[in-house]
Amino acid sequence: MQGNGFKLGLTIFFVGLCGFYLFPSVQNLYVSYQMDQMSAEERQEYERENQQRLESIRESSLNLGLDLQGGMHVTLQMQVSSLLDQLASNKDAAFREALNAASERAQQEDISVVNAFVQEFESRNPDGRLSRYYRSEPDNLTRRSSNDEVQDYLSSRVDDALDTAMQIVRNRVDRYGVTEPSIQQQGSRRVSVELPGVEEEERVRNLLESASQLTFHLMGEPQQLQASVQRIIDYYEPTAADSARIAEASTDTTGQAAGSDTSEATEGTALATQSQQDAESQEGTALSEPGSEGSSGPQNPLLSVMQPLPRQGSPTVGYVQGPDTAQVNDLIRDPEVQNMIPSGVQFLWTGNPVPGTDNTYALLAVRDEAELTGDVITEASVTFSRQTNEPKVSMAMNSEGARIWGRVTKANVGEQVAIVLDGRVYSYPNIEGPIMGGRTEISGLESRQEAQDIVTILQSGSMQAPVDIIEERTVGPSLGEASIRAGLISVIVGLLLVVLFMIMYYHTAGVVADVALLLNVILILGILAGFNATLTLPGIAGIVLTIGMAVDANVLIYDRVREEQATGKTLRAAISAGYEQSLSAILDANITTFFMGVILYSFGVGPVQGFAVTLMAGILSSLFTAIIVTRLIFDYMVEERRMDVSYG
Amino acid sequence: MRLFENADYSLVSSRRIGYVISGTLLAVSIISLLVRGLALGIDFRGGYEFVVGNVGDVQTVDVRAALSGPLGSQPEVKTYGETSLLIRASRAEDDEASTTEVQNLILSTIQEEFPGSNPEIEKTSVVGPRFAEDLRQGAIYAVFGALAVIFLYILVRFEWRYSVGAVAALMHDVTITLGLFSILAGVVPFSLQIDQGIIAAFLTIVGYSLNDTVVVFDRVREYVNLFKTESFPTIVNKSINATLSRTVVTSVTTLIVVTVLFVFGGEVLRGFSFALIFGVIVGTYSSVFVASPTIVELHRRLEQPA
Repeated sequence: MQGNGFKLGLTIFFVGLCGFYLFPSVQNLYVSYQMDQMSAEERQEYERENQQRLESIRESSLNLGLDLQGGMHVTLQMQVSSLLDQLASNKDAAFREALNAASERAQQEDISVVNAFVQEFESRNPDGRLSRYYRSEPDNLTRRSSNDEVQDYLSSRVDDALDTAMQIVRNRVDRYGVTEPSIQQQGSRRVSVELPGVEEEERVRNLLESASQLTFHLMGEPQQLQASVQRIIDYYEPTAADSARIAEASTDTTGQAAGSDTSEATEGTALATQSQQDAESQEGTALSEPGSEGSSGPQNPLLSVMQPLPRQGSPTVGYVQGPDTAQVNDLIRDPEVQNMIPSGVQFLWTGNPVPGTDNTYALLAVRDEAELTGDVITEASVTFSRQTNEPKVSMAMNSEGARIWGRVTKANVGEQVAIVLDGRVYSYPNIEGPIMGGRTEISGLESRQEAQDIVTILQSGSMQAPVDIIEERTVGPSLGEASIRAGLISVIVGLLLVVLFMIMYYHTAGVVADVALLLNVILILGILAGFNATLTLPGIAGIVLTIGMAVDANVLIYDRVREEQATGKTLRAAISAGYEQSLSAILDANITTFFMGVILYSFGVGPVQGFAVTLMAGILSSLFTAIIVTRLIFDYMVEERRMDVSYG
Repeated sequence: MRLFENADYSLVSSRRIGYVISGTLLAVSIISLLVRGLALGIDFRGGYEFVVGNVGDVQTVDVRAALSGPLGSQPEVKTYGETSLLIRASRAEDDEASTTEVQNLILSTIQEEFPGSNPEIEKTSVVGPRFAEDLRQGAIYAVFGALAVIFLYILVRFEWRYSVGAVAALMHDVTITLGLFSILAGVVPFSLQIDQGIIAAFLTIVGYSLNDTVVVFDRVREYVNLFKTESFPTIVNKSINATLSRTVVTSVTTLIVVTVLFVFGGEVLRGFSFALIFGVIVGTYSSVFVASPTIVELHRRLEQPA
């Protein structure tokens, strides 16, 4: 038993350590089981009384991956090219060309947008200076600054923007209320967000993706708009005869809709909700279904999806069913059509369906230039309209904002002003009179929850550049539970079958290997808990696989012992030789598999990393149990108890 | 119980049979890979993947037909577990429709077309094209990185001929498993698309197959010093036979657990465990019939000077 004291000590130490790390997880299981037995009230009471204890148990118990407990994983990517665009001044064709080429390239290959932009610009304009576009006094960036300096400046601005974006995402997630979210930077322009237990995917998507760029715009000139929309319709008109008929139909609309244009004052802000009036006028005119009039001949692609509504005093281009908006976007993106849109005006969708309709959105003509931006907002809260009880977001502005807002509203009494959040028009009320106090509100919201989310977005600050969701994985709680069950059954059945096989094949020695195997599973879980790793479904698969492969070391040893016994050695000598002779094969085989784990871990994401972690943990613990623990047991059996161990 | 004890098969001298089998499998695999190609999952191709539960008794063909119009492309629809459907839709580069819109479109279409169903989204995966490109690159790096690391490790621990033998066996295993995925895609009732999980399975196969190979090589190394008078092919043959029992036992225990995973592990792990079952079999075969013959051939050609 030479040196076995050390081995024994090591074994006790590791097992103790794993027990220490696994204790909270066992506690957690026990507490959850207890709480499942309680009634709802008892449970609430219990949770209240033991809140701190419960939290600490949960925090230190084994983390389950999103694929097991349900939740949402999102990777966000910042639109760096949009940031570069915003930071620049004196933009010209050369700038735009280089920026477009750079963002194309960054789509195709693994290169930072800033570097791609500088390269593209320099290749197009060998003598060009980027300082033409980028100047910043605080950063010592002047007209004379070299392109390298500009590049450094841009890179640091991108880093700042990503930091801000992460902070904003963190704020929003906290306000939304997620237990144990994880928000991590990935590379130079990505953020990965893990939200356990989240089910309202749609809401979270909006919350995360929103750049929270709030702007106030005046509307396009209705008369100009009317002519422009007519031209666009004509452009898509297949034949001249059809075109005349449509023109007639649209004048009809104009005549009837004009009558319903009365304004109704809302409290405090002297603004009227125009979107509501549009809905009423739509009901009043009872327009024919889009597309039906063209059914006899070739259809006008625009009219088949859009109900045009340009009329006196309204900045509305038309009404479109939700699913068709993408198609209309495509039609409008046509360069010819872009030229027909009045200059200085852009077409934007409403944020919500037009009130009174199920899924109809209005396309509005809004001036490009923002009168005011959201950074003047100092306060935002959810309020309810006294008359309709409709939820609203009330906002207060700082003094500068209030001054501008006062000037704008004073100069445009009777006009409409669009409140635009992230490129969607939420409301476009009439200005009833000058608003001096700097208060304003967003109406036309669908629910209290939406109002609450907008408040969250406004309060969390605005992103310097928009972010997009480039990857999303959501697992519902029921699927997660099913996965836990499937994983558990696999572990138990796998373990049982391997244990039986080993006893059948190696008899007593098989029992020893099985003891090592069970210890192995506990050690793997302990290692996972100790390193604060996350258990995922592929991770469980890794454990099951380890159960099958971990016995390999024992199989190697036992077969060697059998061989040594066959040469006539005593049991003791055979065991000793068996362990020694098989060590190099065991180590070589396991080290290479361990490398696979390392490689998988460094390339994979999420669940696959979970697999890699358990694979590596399994190799370490199986080496320990198969070489050290089983040897201890054999030494005890053979040397202390003088037992005759059967190797089958 | 003892299997293959004192085994004495002349495996090395009959290695040509192995060459024929491997050659045929490789040829079939490569042809299928070239002709049929591989179905990449959304991880590597980008797109949407939804698991829609509670759809009731519907035919996948009908769902596919119903969704083709609204989605504007032909989605892929498969049964998933007992009452769920797996729906995969591609996502164009300039697609502006948000995930929420696509998701709602699928739900409302199914609800309208199949009265009595009450569909709900159980799982969503959305991968953007650029992200897919990154994942694809990562997977390629991982597989080739793994092969390079193995080559170097064996080079350090053994010698170059063993490195070549081991890597040849691994490429043989991966190619044939990929070929099987290519041949069976669409034939078996579960998804065989190549995603990150499958890459993980491939690397595990590589690790497992190497395990087997290294055990044989280790014995060859030992016997080369022990039986100095024997010819190299005889030594290799002895080594294979001496380790045959272990090779088979470990394969059996590993096959047990991967089969358990395939049966009980649920829909998520089906493709993964399928790859492993096949990989364990091919990996075991290749350490005997590819890796060992390779070192014999290399030894023979280089030891026989003109």
